[in-house]
Amino acid sequence: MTDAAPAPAPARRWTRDTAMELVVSLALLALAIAYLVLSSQIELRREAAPGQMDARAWPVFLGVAAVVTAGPLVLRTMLRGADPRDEIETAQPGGLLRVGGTMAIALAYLALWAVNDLVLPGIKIPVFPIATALAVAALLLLYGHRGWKGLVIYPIALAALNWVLFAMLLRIPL
Amino acid sequence: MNAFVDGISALLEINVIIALVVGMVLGMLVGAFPGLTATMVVALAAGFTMTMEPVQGLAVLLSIYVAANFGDRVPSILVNTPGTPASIATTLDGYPMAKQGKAGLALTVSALVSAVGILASIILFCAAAVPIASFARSSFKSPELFALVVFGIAVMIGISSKSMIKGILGGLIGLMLGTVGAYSATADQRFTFGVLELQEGLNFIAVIIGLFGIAELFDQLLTHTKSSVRPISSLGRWWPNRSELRQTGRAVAVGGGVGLGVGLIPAAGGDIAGLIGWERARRVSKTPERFGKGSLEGLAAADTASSATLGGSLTTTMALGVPGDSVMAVMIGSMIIWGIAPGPSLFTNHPDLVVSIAGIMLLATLLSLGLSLVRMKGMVRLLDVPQPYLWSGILIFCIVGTYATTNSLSTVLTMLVFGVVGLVFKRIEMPAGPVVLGLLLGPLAEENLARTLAILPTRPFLEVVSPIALVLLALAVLSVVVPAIRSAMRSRRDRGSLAERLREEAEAEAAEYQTDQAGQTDQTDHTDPAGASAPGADTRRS
Repeated sequence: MTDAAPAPAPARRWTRDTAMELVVSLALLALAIAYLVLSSQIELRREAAPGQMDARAWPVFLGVAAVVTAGPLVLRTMLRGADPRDEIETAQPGGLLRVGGTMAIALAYLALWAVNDLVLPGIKIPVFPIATALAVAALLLLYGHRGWKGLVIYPIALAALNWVLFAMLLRIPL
Repeated sequence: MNAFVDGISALLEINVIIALVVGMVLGMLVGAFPGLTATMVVALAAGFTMTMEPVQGLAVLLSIYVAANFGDRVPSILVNTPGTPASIATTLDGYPMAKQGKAGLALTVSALVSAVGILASIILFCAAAVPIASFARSSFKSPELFALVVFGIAVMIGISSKSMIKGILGGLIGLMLGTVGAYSATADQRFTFGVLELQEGLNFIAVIIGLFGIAELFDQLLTHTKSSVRPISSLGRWWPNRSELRQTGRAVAVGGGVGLGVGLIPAAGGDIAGLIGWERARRVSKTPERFGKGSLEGLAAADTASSATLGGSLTTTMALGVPGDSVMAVMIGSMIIWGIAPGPSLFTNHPDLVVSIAGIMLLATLLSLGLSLVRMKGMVRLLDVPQPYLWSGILIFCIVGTYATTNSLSTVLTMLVFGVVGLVFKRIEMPAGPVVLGLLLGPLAEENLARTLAILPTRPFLEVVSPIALVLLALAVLSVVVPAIRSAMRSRRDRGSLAERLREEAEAEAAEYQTDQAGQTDQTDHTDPAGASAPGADTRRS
């Protein structure tokens, strides 16, 4: 772009924000359409009289309203681009990895927690505190914490606190 | 008289006192850690309180609500980062005061005026809750209740969203989520896809913790940078002198009035009130030029206003069943679990609850004030806790707390899914508030609309649909249309939610001061005077 050439209007520029906004707008429109289709397929034991509501009426109304609202959002994004995002903090390098890693650790934690307690001769070892301590240690490593004291003491303390609070005091079957 | 005695005697049990103290400590901690929000922790505590007696549970939740309102001022004043959005306006004058070596004075005045604001709002609650509930009970039938729900959601959309279309979509998504499960009238299954866990609908607590807690955590993980901002540690003197106290009188009155009024509007929270209160006080001040530059008046007005919303929110919630803010939305969910339905008939069925609630709020306020007035060096140290400890702790507590609500890992999965959804919403600036309100109030709206439509053919329209309902529906339309028209008339870059627009005005006022000070401080200046980038500033929280 030369100095003489007029700068393109911001609304027309295809930035990463616009692309993301468009993807999300389309996803919302697809969601609205899917909801509307599924609403119209709700099985009824008995249809309501004209002018009355049954299990299908409210969802169909919401689906239509959502399609009518999401459609203009897609059009607006295509025609004018995304609004300025001055208030949104920029994602940092490694941020997505932290989020993905956290989600993966959380799911692994749930999978481990779902395992039955270990039963050894004369002793039952609950899996929850072990899984919790391991998950916390993994999270700390992911977030860049490297001190061995923190990686050992804090996970054990947090697991013990949860165990005492939920299992012993609140009697939640962990 | 019996109700009064019953309400007071319920508070005198030792387990209620313990619950209150636990809630208060939790609330203080929540407020002091930027990134933790009252909504998030009240949602989490809902898991703990499920098995408690209602008064005991209310003691935990309400004291978190009150104490968070005191704790959140600490990071606002010392590091220019609001502990919760309710203290956004505190940063405008609190941080400049701290930079002038008056942090101790700012913290003390902030605590005192916050207590004044909450106490005034408790009086409002005691005076207004029962009459409003009585009026609603006699005047609010199905059409009016439907209109009230629509009004509540519309106000939330109108004030919380930069883009009206996204706000409306948020509300609709919430309403859609509210349709999952069995239809109450006929037990027809909707959107359950054969999954047993979905038959009773989406777990409200899981959705709330996901949208507010996990989404917030993920957003911090995504955007975190190593900050060199250190809390201001030179706190200076603590107690205001007489002339300083006199100086704040008018600001406290103005801020209190604003807060009491804003609190009664469904879905408008302390963040909005604080900013409006600050702006109104500046207009009536004899020294408006000092606002944004470390004005004690500005600090007092902002904090009184944001604190004074508590009673109003509580009044709307308990008397009408429409959440005053997102914390109250969670509280309604908890109360329903205890078998208490907030709304016009609440005080008829449980008249002692008004006394108990007011008593809990009063005790929590006085205890929090006492704790706040103890030298805050301990609280200041909390700001030094490494983020990895905080993040991992929050995640584990969210997971275990959510599990505790149903004893099912599928609920935890729901929460994690909504955490991702909430993160996407944050990144595209779609407010979570309308989603939550839609989810909570959707079934109520559907039920009352169905009843209205059933009655309509049998009687004349205006006999069924009263002027109250029509006025509420008209106000609902105006709540969405007026901000949309205003937004359309502004240039695209200048658009924003009400909170953002007020913040921009405040920033303009403070800009000159910050320019002057930029080279004079050895602190790394974190120029975000209104906490726009503060954790979760887009959600309606207290």
